Amino acid sequence: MNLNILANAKFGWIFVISEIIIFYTMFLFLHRIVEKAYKNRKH
Amino acid sequence: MTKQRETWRSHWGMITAMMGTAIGLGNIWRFPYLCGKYGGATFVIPYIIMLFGIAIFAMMCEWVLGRHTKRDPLGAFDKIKFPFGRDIGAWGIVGPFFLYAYYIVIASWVIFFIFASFKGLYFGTDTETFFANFLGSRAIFIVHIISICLTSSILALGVQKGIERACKIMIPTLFVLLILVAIRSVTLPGALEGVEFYLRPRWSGIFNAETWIAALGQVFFTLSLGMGAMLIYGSYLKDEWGIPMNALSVTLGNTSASILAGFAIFPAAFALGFGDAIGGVESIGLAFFVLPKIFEVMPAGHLFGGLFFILLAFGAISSAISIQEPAIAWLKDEVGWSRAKSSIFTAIILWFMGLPFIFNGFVPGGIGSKLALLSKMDVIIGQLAIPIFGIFSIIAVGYFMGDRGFDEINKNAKIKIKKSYVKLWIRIVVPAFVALIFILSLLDILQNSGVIPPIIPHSGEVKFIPMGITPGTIFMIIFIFVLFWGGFAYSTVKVLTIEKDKKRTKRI
Repeated sequence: MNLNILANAKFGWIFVISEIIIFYTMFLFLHRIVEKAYKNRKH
Repeated sequence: MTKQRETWRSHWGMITAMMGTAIGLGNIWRFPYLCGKYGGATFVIPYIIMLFGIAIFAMMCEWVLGRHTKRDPLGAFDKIKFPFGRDIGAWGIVGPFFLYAYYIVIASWVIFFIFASFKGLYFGTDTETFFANFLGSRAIFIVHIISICLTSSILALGVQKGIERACKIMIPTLFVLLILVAIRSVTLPGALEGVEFYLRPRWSGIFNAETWIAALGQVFFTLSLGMGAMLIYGSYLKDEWGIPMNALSVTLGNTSASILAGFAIFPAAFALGFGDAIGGVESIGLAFFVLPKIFEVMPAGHLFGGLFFILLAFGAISSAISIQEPAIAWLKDEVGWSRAKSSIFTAIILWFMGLPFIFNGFVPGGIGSKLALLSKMDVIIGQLAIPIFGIFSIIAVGYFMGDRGFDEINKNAKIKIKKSYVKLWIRIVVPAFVALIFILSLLDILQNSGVIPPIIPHSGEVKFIPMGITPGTIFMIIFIFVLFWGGFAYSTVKVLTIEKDKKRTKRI
């Protein structure tokens, strides 16, 4: 596997920023699901 | 049925845990460098002003937000009905998660260097090549897993039995080791020149705007603010503990460690002929290239190198547990998982998230290309995201909690801060200064990447003319030690006696 791409400046920025955005969105989405489930459980 | 939320067991345990969060790699590898660069002991003056004027209030805001809501960062922002509270609070969990992902990689290098020092692996080699080779070796995978297992198992044991107990061992040991290494360093022949470089008052530094900017950034980052760690640790504070005095004790303890670190590093460097090399390096370069070179030639270098990296590892691990904790608290509070299950789950995700930084080390070329991904993540998370979350925490207390927040600061406190003063400070002065940190970080990044022409001037090389030990230095050493060590001892003894008195009164 060629890992040289990891040291590429442009790829690095895209990778880091998209990783943060994807993870953050996923987390928000997950929290909504958890919240819904929690409310249902409560009632 | 609502379960009772965990709290710190003892006052001393809480102080060591908070200090564990605050004392990290930055204290050891950045503060002494800043002192040497920006006017020696005179740097301490802007540092004190920023520490007590700005940073301590920002820290108290996070504690207040945590203790008042008794929730994880997401729940805390949601509970006080902050606009977009859940989205902003979520950043208090996701931000530290990314921070942990690369911070633990650095912590694992430190752990490897403990063994490398005791075994003398880098002795007789070029330290830079040794470090570069290590980044591309299989050993990194093993130490990475060891580090994650270490922090996760501490967290799995809980707040009292895990975090508190671990910090009660790690932090005092860190201080003892730091004192040991500092004594070794100062007693080397020719070491006083290093002390001179580190602390000789050079008053021109104080009139330089760059010094104040550096002090502001250092006080904010050294207290681990804006990363959800102080907020979550604050949520475990007992209601009967007063916040101002405890905050004072933690900040003074944190600074004491930073000051001692300088005594461990500079005298040895100057005594062993690395004075020129050490003047301009900080962080990774200092810890993994220059210091190993010093340990190579130091008498009993194996031992002192090993001890130094142990204390560095304690600082890193105690900080790492605090940035993994917000996610675990969220899983516990919102999802209802057990601590053990949450710790294992976060450990697996964090291991996976750390892999790109490790694979980056296998790229052929210099250190720069091996750390390319890690430095980019640090720019976004370590320099930009942290001040943003810090501002939100302060605004949350200043504008959305209203009097509840201001009263929470002085609740059950023996030494109170005047409410009108707190109000003015938390609403206007502190957020303005933290916003300044963010703007300056952004400008620095844009300037370094060549997007904009230089706006903030850089003072360039450090010029040091050896003059032997001067009375000014001796005076400043005494002044700093009395102020920070004396202050730390006084405030800690004071808070511990207050607690003892309370216990006694309860019994009666």
